[in-house]
Amino acid sequence: MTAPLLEVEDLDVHFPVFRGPLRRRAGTVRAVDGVSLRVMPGETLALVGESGCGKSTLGRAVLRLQEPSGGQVRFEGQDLLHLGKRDLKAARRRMRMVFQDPHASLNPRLRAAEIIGEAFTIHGCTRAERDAGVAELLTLVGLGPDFAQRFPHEFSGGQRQRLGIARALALHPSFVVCDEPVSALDVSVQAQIVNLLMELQERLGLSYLFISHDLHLVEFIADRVAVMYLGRIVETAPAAALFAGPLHPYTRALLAASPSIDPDRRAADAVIEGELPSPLNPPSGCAFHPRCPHATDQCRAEMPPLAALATGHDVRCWHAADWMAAAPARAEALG
Amino acid sequence: MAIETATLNAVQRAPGVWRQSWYRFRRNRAGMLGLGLVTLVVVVALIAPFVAPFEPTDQSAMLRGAARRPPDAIHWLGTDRNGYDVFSRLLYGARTALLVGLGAMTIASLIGVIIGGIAGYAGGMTDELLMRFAEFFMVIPVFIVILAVVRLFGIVVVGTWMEDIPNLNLLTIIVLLGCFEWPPIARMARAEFLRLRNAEFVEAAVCIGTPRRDILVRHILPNALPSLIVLVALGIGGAILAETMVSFLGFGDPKAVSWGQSLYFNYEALKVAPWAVLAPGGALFCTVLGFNLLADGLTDAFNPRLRQ
Amino acid sequence: MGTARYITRRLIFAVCLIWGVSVILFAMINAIGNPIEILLAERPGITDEIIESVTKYYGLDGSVTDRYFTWLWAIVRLDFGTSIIYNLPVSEMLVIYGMETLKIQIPGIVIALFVSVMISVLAATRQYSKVDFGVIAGAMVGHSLPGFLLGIILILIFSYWLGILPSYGAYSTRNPVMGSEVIDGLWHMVLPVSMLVFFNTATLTLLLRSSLVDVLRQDFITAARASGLPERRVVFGHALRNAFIPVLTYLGILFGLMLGTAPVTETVFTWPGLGALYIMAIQQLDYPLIMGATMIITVMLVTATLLTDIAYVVIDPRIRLG
Repeated sequence: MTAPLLEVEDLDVHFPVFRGPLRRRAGTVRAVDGVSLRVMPGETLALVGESGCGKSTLGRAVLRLQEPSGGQVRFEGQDLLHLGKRDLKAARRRMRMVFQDPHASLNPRLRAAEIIGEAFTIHGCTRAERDAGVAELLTLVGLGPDFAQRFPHEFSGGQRQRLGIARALALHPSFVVCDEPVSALDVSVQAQIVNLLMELQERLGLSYLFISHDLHLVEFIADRVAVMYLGRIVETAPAAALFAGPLHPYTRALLAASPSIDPDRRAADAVIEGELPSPLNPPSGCAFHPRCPHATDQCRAEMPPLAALATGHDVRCWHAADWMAAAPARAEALG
Repeated sequence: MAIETATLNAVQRAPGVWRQSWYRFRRNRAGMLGLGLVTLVVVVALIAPFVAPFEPTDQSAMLRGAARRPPDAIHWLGTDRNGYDVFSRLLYGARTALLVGLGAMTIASLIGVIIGGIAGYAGGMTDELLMRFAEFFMVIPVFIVILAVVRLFGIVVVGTWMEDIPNLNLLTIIVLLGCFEWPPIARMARAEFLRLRNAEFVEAAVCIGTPRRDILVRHILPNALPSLIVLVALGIGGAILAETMVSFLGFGDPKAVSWGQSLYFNYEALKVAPWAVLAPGGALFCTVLGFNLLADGLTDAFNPRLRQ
Repeated sequence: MGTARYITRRLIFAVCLIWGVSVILFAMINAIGNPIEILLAERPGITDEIIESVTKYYGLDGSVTDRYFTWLWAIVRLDFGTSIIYNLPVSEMLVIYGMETLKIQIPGIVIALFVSVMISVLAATRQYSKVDFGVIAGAMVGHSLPGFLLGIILILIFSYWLGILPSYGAYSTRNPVMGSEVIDGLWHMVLPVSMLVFFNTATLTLLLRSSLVDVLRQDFITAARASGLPERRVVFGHALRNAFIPVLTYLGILFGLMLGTAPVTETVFTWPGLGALYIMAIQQLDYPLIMGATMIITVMLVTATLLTDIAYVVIDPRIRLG
């Protein structure tokens, strides 16, 4: 087995909340709470969850765009959280991000060539290297070198996202965090960008941490999926296994809630009721219990561990084993 | 995708941010009038030595007994009680006015952008302290304090090396205006830096390893410029007005050829030689109006949504 | 955070502000050395002993910090010392001159408020009409016309050319107008107040018109109109009240601006107010008078700002306190 490219262990991102005239600390928002993840070379790990569950924060913390408050992030064997300024800069040659909003993520005052070329300049490339790199990248993302001298506003939404991808790929990174890269785009363009991402992955051997709330998209692109709820991972499994047999009630509800053409998918689990609880004041025990139709006293009292039920299939639920046992029967019943 | 590329190439390239603003500005009549007035002042300041009929220090009319003469063919705007040619001093006064306006606002912009930028980018306690500091300068009676400092500084320098600096008094006023006019710029810079600090393109820059200096200078500052330019335009007019008022009260630089000095020397003779007061007054009015209209037009041009 | 807490915080800040100004001022004045020495240096027959005794008389001996705290303690008891030039208690002078300043400044703002409301309603209800453009243009020009220039023009027209209004002072020295001192006083106020009203009206109209246009566009106004309220009630009852909030917050700033430039206004009209007194004091280095006048102007200004801050939160409950 090869070594993982990215290893996240027990990562915490806590935001202190201050109130009052003296700025007394009133509490902590645990946006990311004890998350562990692995991304293998060439693999796409999708991170799924409702908005506000901390998936974007996790993506940013992995790249140290947001300083984590605890835990470990190892990237290509290096401990990212204890890198000095210079080493961090060096590490940033190898890991990048594609942002959600291609309008907000491109500096409107810079030309395409400057946006893409910035990484080359910063990491000490010559002018010639930079110009060649920019031209190559523009071609790679399907824009072509003619676009080099244009400003972001001269591009359409899809083209801007291509520009954003080109920027992320400068200097050949091995790992890219894609934070909802297509959710701000027109539906007609989404497929193009997703295809581009997958094509690039194949050609360049990239690894993705793909953050999304769109389950269809995830099913299409992901090798493995991690489901997040209130800052914690509740289920992680290979994509095929997860979509065939989701075990956590939350995952099942998510799948049920997402509109599907396949009538078999309209499963028995009801659509999630209630609001996402405040992360400032999370529920006791299993964080999902106030919205879970199967909650028991144990769920209310104790937080379940993330337990492995099958190879690579971990679930954070006291009753996961029951669901596992029931799954074949249910599949039969549905079939 | 090939089609997408082709269509974009065929379509005329969309104009840039500055050009778009200029298109909007051009349609704003008041703004264009302001730009015209400001251009006029700049041109006058540049060509004053070539077109002025008299030297600004020429008091020969006094010797000919021609002081306080109403406008005629030789002295287009008359002469004042000191025998100066009013028109020539009006032209030369534009230089002093622009020097004061640009000098003061250069200082104010530097201080304002640095303080506001640090406050907005650092946040937290630093932000709180710096903004309270700025508020302090916004609430105290600035004009009154400037008057006192100009007067007292004039006494302090007597007998020191600074006495030999030419136009020291004018420089003092410029520096003081700069040191007191920065808070609005700092507040705006802070708001802009705060907004842009969390912009995705800034995060993207951090992500590729851009050093902090580049982030501030290359990514944040250029995007904060439009709002700051409006304030600077307003501030130039304000600084010119303030210098004129300081001079009018008799605390100005007696050696400087400024509109305020002309007003100060000729106000007592308002009844006999009103032209000597009205001419520099009119010039001041046009300049202040010009900068105000320009700032107004720029606000509309940069923020089309605010337009009414 | 509650309103009371917010107000307390602003109050504390206001006090700190006034204290800060006092420190700066004191430091500045002490930077020039002994003012008595400078004042008396050029006069004949002044010996070192005389300077010394005069210095002692005005309490100017001793260390800077000692003197600062002595002065501060005196200020707290509203004792501003004695003017060197006039040999009168500074506090008394401040009250007399301060009243003269307020006598023109307060009518200047109050009248301007009424006038600008009328003009703004006229313009805003006819948005984009010729009247509206005329008002905007006029207000912009009026706002850019420096007050003291307007004062000079008014004096030129009404005093020198038409000869109907007095050009200087607050009272006639010999024959009061129409034999009545009250009418005489009012008569002298006409020009300076007109000048202040003109400038304030222009500035307030600029603000109120755009604010009113904004409000008149909102849904609750349409709803009020739809419910059959007469237009007059809609504009004056509903729209104006909401449009007034930004204007109200600006009043404090405007008052501060007017007070800050009072030296210019009062020099133009030779008005015996605080501003003119202040100019006299710094020209002649009347040390207790400079300190006193600056402190009073600062206190008035800070109070005005404080009142607007408070009015702001009291009137508009939507404001987030922070």
